[in-house]
Amino acid sequence: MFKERKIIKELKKLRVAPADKVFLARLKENLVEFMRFHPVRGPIKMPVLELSPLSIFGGMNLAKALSVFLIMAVVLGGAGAAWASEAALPGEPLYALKTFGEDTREKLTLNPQKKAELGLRLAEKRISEIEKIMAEKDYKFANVQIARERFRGHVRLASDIAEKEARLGKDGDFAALITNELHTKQVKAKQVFENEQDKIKTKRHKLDRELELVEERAKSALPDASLEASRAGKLRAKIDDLSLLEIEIKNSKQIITENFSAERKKIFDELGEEERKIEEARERKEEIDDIDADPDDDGDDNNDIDGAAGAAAGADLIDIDENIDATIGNVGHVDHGKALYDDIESEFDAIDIDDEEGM
Amino acid sequence: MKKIEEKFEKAYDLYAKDILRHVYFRLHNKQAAEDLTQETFFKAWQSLALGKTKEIKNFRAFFYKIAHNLIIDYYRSKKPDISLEKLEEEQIEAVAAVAAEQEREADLGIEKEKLEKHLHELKEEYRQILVMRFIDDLKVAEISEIIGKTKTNVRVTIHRALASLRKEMENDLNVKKYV
Repeated sequence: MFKERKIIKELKKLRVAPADKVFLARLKENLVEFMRFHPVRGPIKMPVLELSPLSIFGGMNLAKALSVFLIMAVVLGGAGAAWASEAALPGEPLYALKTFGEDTREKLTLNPQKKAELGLRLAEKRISEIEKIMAEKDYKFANVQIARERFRGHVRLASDIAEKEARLGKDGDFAALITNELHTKQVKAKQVFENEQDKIKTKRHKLDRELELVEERAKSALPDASLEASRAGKLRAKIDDLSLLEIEIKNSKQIITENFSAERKKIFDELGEEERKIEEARERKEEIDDIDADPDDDGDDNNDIDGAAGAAAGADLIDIDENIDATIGNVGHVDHGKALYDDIESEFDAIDIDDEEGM
Repeated sequence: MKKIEEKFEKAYDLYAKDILRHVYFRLHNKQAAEDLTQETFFKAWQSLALGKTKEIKNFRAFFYKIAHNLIIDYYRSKKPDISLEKLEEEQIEAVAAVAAEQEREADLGIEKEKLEKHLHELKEEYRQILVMRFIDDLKVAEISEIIGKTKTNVRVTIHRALASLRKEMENDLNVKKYV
């Protein structure tokens, strides 16, 4: 297997076989000419094709090419990306690139003293980042934590180097210098956090005071509010009562209307019945009159018969009269019933006259 | 339609060099490689213009397939009565080309010329698979599509081709470098 791997490795090296650029350029010219004279007519489905910027790395895979690119950008100090990321703060997209660059620079610095100095410079950068973050209005403390952790890392690194240098007895002055610088940095970082703490305390105190004022205002507004609420409640109760009343009135009106209609119907029916009876009585009277008008009549027997019939008819009419009065009395001012009554009354008058003449 | 032309030109820029290299390693002949490379791209465009191809899913595979078929045709059409002188001439050209390349490749583990020679001594089926897999860096799936064989078949052939190449190299006097 080992041998096969070596063979594969050597085969892969053949990838760098140089191509004849002149030939390829000439071929392209001919091809373009050919394409112009033989155009494509119908639609052709083609994949999306972009010239890969990684093609300049000639066959490297993506991960390797990206690493090379980043390292080149960082180490050479060039490339827009490295410059653009310089101002990035924790939580921003370019911050990862910035820290990657710093870590790479750190790893590539082999001299211990230079490495320690780099650590100090980076620690100073972290303090500056923390100050900038906390100067923002609504900052996320998580971002401060990121910068703080990196600050600790730089300080630890520089401290370890200084300690090692001192232990090995290499450069005591340098070790002392680094230690002093570290102390200064830590004091500065502490000051930054203490300033922030004071700011937060002041802010909090202010908020507490505002909260107290709001609470006091709320308390004083409470009785008025209660009164208003009570008044509102009473009004609401009155409205409810009125609503109920309205319903009751509506219902009563309906009941009265229904009752009145029923009564009216009853009266009309009764009047109608009375009318019928009057009509019957009239017909009977006419029959009796017809009998009286007969020439063969001898007198007494017929008179008795006539008289009885007439009295019966009259009694009927009187009963009818009384019933009608009662009905009209019940109804009150029913115009139709009254008109009917007037008609009936005139009938009565007509009947009395006839009886007197017959007798 | 201009979009199609632009895309095709872009695809040419991306893959022309790979196709030329591939054909060269298959034929071991610079002139033949150039001719076939030219023919590959002309044929590719022609199949679009004539409506024979209505869809290209993968430009790379498309070009490799055409080149592969042309190479097969080339071997089939190679007349047996080709003169020995012509053969020698071709070989001399090939060696000269390799020697020229070797000047630029100073730090290889093995002599590139010998590797190419051994590669060329393999049977075509093995050579094509090794060139496609390790020099052209094509995936097994892509090779399977180009040569029209199953992926399993391709994997087995790769394994056999490597074994065969190793055997060729071990038979050579420079075998010590691999032990």
